[in-house]
Amino acid sequence: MTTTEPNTDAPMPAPVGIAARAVRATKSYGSGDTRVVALDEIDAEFEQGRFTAIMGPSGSGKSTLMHCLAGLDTLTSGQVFIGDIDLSSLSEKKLTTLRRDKVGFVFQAFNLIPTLTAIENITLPMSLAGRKPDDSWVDRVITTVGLGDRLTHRPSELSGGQQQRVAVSRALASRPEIIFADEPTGNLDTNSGSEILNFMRQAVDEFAQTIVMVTHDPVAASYADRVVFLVDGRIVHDLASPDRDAIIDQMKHLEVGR
Amino acid sequence: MLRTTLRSLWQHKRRLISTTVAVLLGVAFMAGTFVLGDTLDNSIDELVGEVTVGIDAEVRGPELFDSGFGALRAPVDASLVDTVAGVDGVEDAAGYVQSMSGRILDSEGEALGQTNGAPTIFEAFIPNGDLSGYEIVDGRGVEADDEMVLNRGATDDADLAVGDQVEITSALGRDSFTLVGIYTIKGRDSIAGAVTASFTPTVAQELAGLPGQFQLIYATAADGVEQPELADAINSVLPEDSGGEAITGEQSSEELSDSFSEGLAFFSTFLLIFALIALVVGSFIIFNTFSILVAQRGKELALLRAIGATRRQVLVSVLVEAILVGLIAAFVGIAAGIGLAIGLVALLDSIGLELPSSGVVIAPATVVWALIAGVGVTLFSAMIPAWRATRVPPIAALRDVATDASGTSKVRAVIGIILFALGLFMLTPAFGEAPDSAALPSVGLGAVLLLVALVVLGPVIARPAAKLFGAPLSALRGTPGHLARENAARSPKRTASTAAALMIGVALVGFITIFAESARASIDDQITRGLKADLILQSESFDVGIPLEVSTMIAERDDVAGVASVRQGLVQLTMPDGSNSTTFMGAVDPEVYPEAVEVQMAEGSLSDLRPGGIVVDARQADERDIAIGDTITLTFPTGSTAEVEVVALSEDPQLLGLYTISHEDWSTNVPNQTDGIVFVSAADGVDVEELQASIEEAIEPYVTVIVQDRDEFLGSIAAQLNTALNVIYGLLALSLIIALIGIANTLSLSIYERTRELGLLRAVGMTRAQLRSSVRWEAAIIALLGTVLGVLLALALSYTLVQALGPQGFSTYDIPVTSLVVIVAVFAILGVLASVLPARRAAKLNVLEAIATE
Ligand SMILES: Nc1ncnc2c1ncn2[C@@H]1O[C@H](COP(=O)(O)OP(=O)(O)OP(=O)(O)O)[C@@H](O)[C@H]1O
Ligand SMILES: [Mg+2]
Repeated sequence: MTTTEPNTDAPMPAPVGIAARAVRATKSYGSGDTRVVALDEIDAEFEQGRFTAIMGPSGSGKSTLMHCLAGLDTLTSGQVFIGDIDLSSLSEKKLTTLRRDKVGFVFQAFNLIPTLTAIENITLPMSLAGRKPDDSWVDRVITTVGLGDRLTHRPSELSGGQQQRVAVSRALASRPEIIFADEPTGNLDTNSGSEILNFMRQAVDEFAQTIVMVTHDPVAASYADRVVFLVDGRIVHDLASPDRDAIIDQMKHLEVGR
Repeated sequence: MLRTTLRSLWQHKRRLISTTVAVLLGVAFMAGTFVLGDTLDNSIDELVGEVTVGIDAEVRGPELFDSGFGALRAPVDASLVDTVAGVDGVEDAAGYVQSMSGRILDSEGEALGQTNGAPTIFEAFIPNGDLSGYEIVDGRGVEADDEMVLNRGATDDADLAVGDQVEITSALGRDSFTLVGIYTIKGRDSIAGAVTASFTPTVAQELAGLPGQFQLIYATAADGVEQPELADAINSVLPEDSGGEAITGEQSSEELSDSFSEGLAFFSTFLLIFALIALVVGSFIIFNTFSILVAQRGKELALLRAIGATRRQVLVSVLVEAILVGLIAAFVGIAAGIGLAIGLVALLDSIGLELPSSGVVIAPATVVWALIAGVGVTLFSAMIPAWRATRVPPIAALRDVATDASGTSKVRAVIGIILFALGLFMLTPAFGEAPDSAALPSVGLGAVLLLVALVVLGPVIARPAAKLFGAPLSALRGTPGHLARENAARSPKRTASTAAALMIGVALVGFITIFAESARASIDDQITRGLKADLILQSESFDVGIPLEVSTMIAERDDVAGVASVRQGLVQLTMPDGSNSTTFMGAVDPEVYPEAVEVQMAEGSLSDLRPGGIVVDARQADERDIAIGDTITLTFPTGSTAEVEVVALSEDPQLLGLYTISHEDWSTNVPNQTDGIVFVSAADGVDVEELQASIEEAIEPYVTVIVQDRDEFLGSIAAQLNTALNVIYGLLALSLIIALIGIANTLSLSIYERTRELGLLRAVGMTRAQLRSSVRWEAAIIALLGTVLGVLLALALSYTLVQALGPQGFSTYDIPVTSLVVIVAVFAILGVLASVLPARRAAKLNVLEAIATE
């Protein structure tokens, strides 16, 4: 994969390896007549330190792919790797600790534990691991995301945008190998949404964080280094350094193709 | 609307199971009590009917007084038997006398029958099988004074055969008789397991201490004479001065079974109290379940309202659900109760109380009460949640329904504090100068008010308390502990009512534990202070006394310095103001008693007690307005009466009874007197242990008498209290089980509600073990809250009651710290055990489905 047109001024860290990989990944539900193939022998690689967006029509398998990559769901056949680790070989307990230590999550909604304060939510994976969070790093994340004065608030006392910022901070705070975000801005207004996207972009550029984001929004996808298009459980297009218009073009193309 | 209700019920069926069980257990307990009572009642009716079927008329003496277990009647003169036999229409008549003051020894020389089990009855043999109901199946009837016959059950148990010499102990000492016959009673081996030994009338009269007298005369009618005719005929010839009366056999048998039923009714009432406690505890669980279900269905209910359902329809839909739950609980409860009763009857049978088993009796009243209890409790408990359901605004359909986190409403706090203060105020009479028994109703009401106040205040204190108890968890158990603490504090109402169910059970357990311990310590204190004797002789059966020859024999020993005894029995006292009181009264020898026991006196001295005098407990004297110099009339079970003058007031109820007369007066009025307790002081230089061993050997023939040193004596009192305590623990266990089911139930419902949150936790890396531990700790916090509140309540109430009862001999308030710590620990652990299933279910949640849950 080559980048012809870097869309930020920040120096691009050289790709040193693959953060996550799917090999002939297949996921199907049911059997016989009612069989639904959500992922159809997908091969994909997600490089370290890059921001990838996954797009596609509803029901095309975006969430399923993400869940399988993240160890939340298991494949029907094929393999997925986080780093060098083959997830299909892991026990449920190992998968859990892998999610805790190597993966970060941002969901569309309901990202936070209502009984915990913002800061407790941010450091949750680390305290679950019984690890002391790296304070200077957490501080840096919080400052970057701009949550300074809201840290001791509970989720119910935060706006939707603030809640998503906490969720992004949580994903970043434990320095996972990869962050998966499923429509993280889907519930937000344009302003809050672009703030979140900026943070993610910043995390990739400044901290060399790897992020995979599912989205329906071409503007959101344009923040990414690369957009993968999914239709009916298959990757149909792979767009590098996308801008909004190119994405919209591609989407129209897909609509017509269907 | 009904269809929606039914569908919702069906959808929640898993969640409603434990709720149903919570009501069901209480209903089963109640139904079981009723069925057992009715069954026993029926068995007794049947038994009495069978045994007395041949009796057409019964002659008895005038009523002396009510013993509390039926009327006590004077004996009639033996010569009356001939008078009755001579009456026109009488075919046959026989005198009957019985006593329960001894034991039969088996072939090994051991006393037959269990201590405090079915009784041993010495009675007059009636040759006419129609009258006695007995049929000699081996040997012959009694003909001479050195002969006896026994029921077949007894000879089987004791391994005795016709021709054997049978030893008995009685008030008269040891004696021996030749077993000449064995009988059955209407084909049965025994009457409800009792040992019935029949002797000649003369011997039976002697054993009962009624020489020349009978308690009853039975008669059969000649052919064609009806029972009422017969009774009338007999009544017309009974001498005026005999005071006796004849009744029909039917009436006699009815009165007999009635007197048994009365005793049973007392027992049933005692059990019912615990069934009611179980139902009250269960009602908290139901309240909680319906509250949570309504909250969880908030959106659905709002939608119903939005599309036009009226408030009434919503109310009805929730209540119908409650009624269905109540109905199921009631019917399954009745079935379980019947099973319980069958089991208990079998248990009674196995401990020797054999009853005719004509099947369990399921009275319509049992079913009605079980339905009322089951449906009533459920409906009542669901009332508030149902009403709350009607308050769900239609607009809520469009909003996110948050869990009810309220709890600290000002109104609630104010009402709770007012109730609490009122409760405390009601307790104050207990702390007065000299609280009398009038303080008790107030204290009782105060206790109930405090309990209600704590239930009302529960939601107010639940959050801070959960945070407090959970504080060490946050520090020690990391995130799972921290989450447990936050979750327990999350919806205070829910936590509070779950804890309240446990609080009630624990408060009762703690209360009786502390109370019993204080009673034990008080008795211990007083006895340790006043008891000077070295050894104490008692009979192991309450009804069998110590023959007087035992104390005479011991007094003659060189290694004994002194012997003092208390004789006791049922006596009716007629007070100066004319009121009557029936009580167990004691008699002592004022010369020697102070050597064995130092009694504290309020007025006068024990040595003032002489024949014709009585010593009264100062507190009794105060309540009944008795003063020194007053005259009290005593009526003894034999019918004799005596007037005694109050000579002194004592204040040592543990060491001297409430009323005490002299041995002389006792001997005059009570034939066959026995000692209830004998105190022995060792002579100087005699080793008490050796003396005990030696006396033990000497009294070997008196099988029911046991010798204890002071420590053993105190120990046996503690053991008796412990037995009573264990019975009550057993009966409260059900309520505690229900409370634990409540914890499991609340957690399951909460976990269901938190599905999404749990999914998120698992997604970001919480392991199953961590999740289980979090749920367990949440349960521990709730259990601890209930237990600690319960123990605090128990402490306050037991302290108050001990204060109120101070003048009645409660000198010591003793907190059994170890027991209380054990109670708290046990319930915290049981609370955790209750969470095992919900915790497992939580851990098994499918992460993806959980995240996707709306
Ligand atoms: N648990 C399941 N059982 C059966 N089919 C499922 C299940 N989960 C997903 N599917 C099916 O798999 C396919 C892919 O679903 P997925 O959720 O990955 O789509 P998506 O691309 O994320 O859609 P959207 O943009 O609407 O979120 C869909 O056809 C869906 O119906
Ligand atoms: Mg999706």
